[in-house]
Amino acid sequence: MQGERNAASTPPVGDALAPGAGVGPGSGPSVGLGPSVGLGPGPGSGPEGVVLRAEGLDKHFGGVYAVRNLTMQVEQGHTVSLIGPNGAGKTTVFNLLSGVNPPDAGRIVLAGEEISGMPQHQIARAGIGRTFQNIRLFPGLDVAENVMLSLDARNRYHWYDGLLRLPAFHREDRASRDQLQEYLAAVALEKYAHSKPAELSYGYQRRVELARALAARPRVLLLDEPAAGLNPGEVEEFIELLERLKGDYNLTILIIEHRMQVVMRMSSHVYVMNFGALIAEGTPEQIQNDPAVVSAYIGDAHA
Amino acid sequence: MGYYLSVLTFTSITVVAITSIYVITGLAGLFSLGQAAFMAVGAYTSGILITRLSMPFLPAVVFGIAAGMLAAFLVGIPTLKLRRDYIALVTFGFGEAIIAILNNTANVTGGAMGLVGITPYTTTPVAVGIAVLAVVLARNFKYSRFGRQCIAVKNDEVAAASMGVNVAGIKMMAFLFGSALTALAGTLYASYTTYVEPGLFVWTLSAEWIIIVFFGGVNSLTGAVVAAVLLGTLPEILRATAEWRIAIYSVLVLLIINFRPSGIFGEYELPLWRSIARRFRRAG
Repeated sequence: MQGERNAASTPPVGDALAPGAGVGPGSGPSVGLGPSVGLGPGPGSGPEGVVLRAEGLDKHFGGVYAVRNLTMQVEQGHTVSLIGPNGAGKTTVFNLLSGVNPPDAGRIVLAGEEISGMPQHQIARAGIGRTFQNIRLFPGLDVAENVMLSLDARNRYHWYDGLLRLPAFHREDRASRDQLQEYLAAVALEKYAHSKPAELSYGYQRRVELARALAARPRVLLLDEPAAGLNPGEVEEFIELLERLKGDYNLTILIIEHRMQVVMRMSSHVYVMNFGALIAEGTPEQIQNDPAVVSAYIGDAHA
Repeated sequence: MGYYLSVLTFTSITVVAITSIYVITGLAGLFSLGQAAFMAVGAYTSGILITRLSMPFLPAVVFGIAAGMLAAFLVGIPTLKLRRDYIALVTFGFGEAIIAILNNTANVTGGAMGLVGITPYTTTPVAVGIAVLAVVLARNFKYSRFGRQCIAVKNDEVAAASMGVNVAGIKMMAFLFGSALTALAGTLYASYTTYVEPGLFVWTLSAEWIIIVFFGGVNSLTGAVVAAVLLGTLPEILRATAEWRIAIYSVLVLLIINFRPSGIFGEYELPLWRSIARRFRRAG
């Protein structure tokens, strides 16, 4: 699995894309490498390892391109990071992947099924789970009900079962409540099942949001700055929690994060965006040393 | 005695109507300023079937509810996709349109003269029983996956859809279920007063219902029911001071809105709601 991944995606990574960002003509050798291997992981290949693949995504708001010709993929069981300066278009990518906004061009394929263009709730049910940059729990529901909501999407009892409390309602409701306990335990929040989200600390709210996303049993979990607003100690805890959940639930994660601590520790592959386009991709080590990335974050000028 | 029974009956009918507003506004967060028109649809459908076709009460009620839901479906298709503030405006327009139709089809509905001679099937026990039934149904709805989805959609549509909630679908469901209850209230009303006219069901009644729900606490079914009973009987109790009752009523509402914006009950629910369910489950 690991070997196959490297064979498929490492060659074009560090160099082939960086020249695309502007150094192209100067780097002869890597251009020669480009056509032969670069096409391999391109449009043609959809091996069983790739769960989520986005090809040529475009999104503009008015005349401003928020995302331009973006191609990326996430492989089963991996944690992939999407980083970039503020305003680079990272959250827009998440919104395209999860169907909040439809892409203007390009396609998104989840486990062999094209999901771009589907309504948002069907994309969610197809297996895209997500959290939000500014935690978006439902304030009118308590912690347990917030998590139940994700389980509800899989329940099949009808309106008359619910209104008249027929056996189907009791059966499925009880099953959901059992699962609910499991997810609350996974993030160690059983004690707060009947608290309202507003009564919890910021870090706990993040965990409720995580439990809610987990309960939907996503094929790919999109985490939008999950460590934002946590102090360094909490970030460490959060990384450990995520790593544990990743193992327990065999998660595939795509993560937007500004904390390099999280990116470097967790991800096997990193995509870097700036001004709506990818400017680099590779392993965390490659990215750290990539001049395009450094200049995107710090700027070209020597201050 | 007869007077108190009549107050009790009217209050029960109001409770059914308020329960419908609780579902639509309290759970799903939709403001319908034309909801009273669906009460008119229920009242007129059952009234016409009873007077013209001598239909018995029960099937007339069923047809009345069905007609109310059909009207709600037709109004809902173009309306529920709109932004929330527009929904209030558009339902207002549709509601007044339905009233205008009732006024202008005099050969069937009696027009502005009203529909007279409806058999008085609604007795006080029937009205109280149906009010209890309506409240139990709304409670079951609230604590089912549909109720949770309604609240989630009211809170945050994008987040709800990201968790797999069909936003348009759950709004329509709440609107249909609520409107079925509104129409049910209409059928009870028609067969109690034996007389209905379009002027009874204009938008001011819809607005009054929304006020009642907010008075009790828009997030509490308990609050909605208590407020319906309080504000439903209050005008009757204050009848002696006829010219003052609207003023007293208004002052009460103003006090609540100012000093307790979340309504009398806030989010509180009687523990009864859940404990009945638990007992049921143990028995079953």
